[in-house]
Amino acid sequence: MNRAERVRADPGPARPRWAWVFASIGALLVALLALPLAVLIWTALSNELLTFLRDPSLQRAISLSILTSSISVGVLLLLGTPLAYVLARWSFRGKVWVELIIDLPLVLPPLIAGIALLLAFGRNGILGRPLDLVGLRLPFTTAAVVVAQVFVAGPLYVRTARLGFAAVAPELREAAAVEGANEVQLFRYVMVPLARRALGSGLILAWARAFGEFGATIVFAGNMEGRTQTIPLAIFVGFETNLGIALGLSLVLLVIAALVLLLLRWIGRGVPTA
Amino acid sequence: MLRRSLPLLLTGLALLAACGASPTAPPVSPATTVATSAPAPTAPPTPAPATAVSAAPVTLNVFAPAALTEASRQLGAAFEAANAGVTVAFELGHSPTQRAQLEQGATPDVFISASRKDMDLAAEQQLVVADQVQVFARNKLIVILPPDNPAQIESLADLAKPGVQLLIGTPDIPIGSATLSMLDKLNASIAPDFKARVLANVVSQEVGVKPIVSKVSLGEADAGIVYVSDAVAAPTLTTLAIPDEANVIVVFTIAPVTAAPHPEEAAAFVASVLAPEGQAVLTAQGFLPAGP
Repeated sequence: MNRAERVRADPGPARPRWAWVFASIGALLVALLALPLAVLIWTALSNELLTFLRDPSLQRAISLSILTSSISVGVLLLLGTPLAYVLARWSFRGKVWVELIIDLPLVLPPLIAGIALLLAFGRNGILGRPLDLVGLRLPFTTAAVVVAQVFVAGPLYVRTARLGFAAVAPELREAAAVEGANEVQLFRYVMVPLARRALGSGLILAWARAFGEFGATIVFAGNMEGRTQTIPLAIFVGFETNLGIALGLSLVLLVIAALVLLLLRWIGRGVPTA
Repeated sequence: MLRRSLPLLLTGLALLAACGASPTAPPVSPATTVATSAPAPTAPPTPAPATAVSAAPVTLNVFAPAALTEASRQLGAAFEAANAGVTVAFELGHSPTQRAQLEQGATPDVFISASRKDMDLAAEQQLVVADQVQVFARNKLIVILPPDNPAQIESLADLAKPGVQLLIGTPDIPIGSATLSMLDKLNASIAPDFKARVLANVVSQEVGVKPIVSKVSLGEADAGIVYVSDAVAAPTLTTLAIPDEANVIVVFTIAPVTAAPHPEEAAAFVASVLAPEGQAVLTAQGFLPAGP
């Protein structure tokens, strides 16, 4: 094949020959990511999946996971949206530090988050002691699962929401101000509607992260069926005894994660990503 | 509070991450109140190797249960001292997981199991040398309490008091299943609903022995059920002995791995654990000798 023919055979004239070098190297990474997951799905499907999915302890793990990650996302919506708004709109002293604190859980091993939460909210913790006096104990409760999830998933929501607010054109804000809108009206009628795709993307990302949370949960909330045993914990415990259950749950987790990511792409068209 | 618990947490962290042993050698803890009336270790049939078996530097990989954390450091150091050029690397984890790893092709030199079942399975599949599986230590259960004993637990019966926050191992790992059999036995001697009431107090089924020790040490739970050796390794804890007739003896087994990269050193290491010096390390850590 001579050069002219090859050029003609190329589907897009904008794709130079060198693209194949990049593509073949990139394919290695795609294979590394895809192959283990494909094997996992194949093994799970050939493993009497339905028997395991009917297991009541497995169903309890699934519903607990859905419940806790949904509550976590609700908490983030209430607390994270104002924070993202502040960070997008105003500069203030110490803003760098606030941003650093928000971003840390992204890179921190969740296990460390769990230990930190235990030290803070545990029975002998700085905040845990006063809570204990009024009869509130966080560790080993479903609430502790939510706290752990909010801790690790928070940055994803705050970052995405902040970018969404920041992307609203300043002219629109000024126009609203000229029309006499106060700060709350501006937030309610201009900023939130215009940033809604980003807010939605952030919530979905945070939900997915909370759904897969393991390290912080097992340290801070412990492992108790129906109370704190979410899907990732059930997979971990199952891996030691009943690989079938672990595989079945892994498949559930994988399917839900894939659906969530598809939803994210659909909602997040044109949203700046964190 | 923070200063006291930080090293402990770091240990717990390392264990949770299933890392190898930390490089810091712990002080040999003297037998405390939890140490049972352990008789002098009986001399095992195999003699200890006196000299190095190989001249080239060798790293001997050993799969061991987390319950052996403290003892493994001393056993490893002693073997390294007696065999120049050999480094012993312990991978501490759960016996069922490590057995699964063997099945999937992992080739350490020695497999130490906290559960008879996993060792038997490994022997059946020829993953370890079946006729060289040996019991090298036994362990039994004990109740650990935070130093200030917040729930005022004075007897085993108190474990069933309403509101006590108890940590046990998940039934899928050796410590958890041993705990359940012990509660069955206590049911007979204390009260017919004892087991049910104790289980109602369980706030978490932890996925390892060391997380139970860490969380009880932090005072996050009122009590935990662990191996005697774990209590010896955490001397600040208060303990509550479990009478022998209700206790469960857990048997620890050791065997060279069939596909061991260093079979000679593996055999020598197994022998060193069974030798009087190795047995002394184990009894000092609260293990019962290999026994009858």
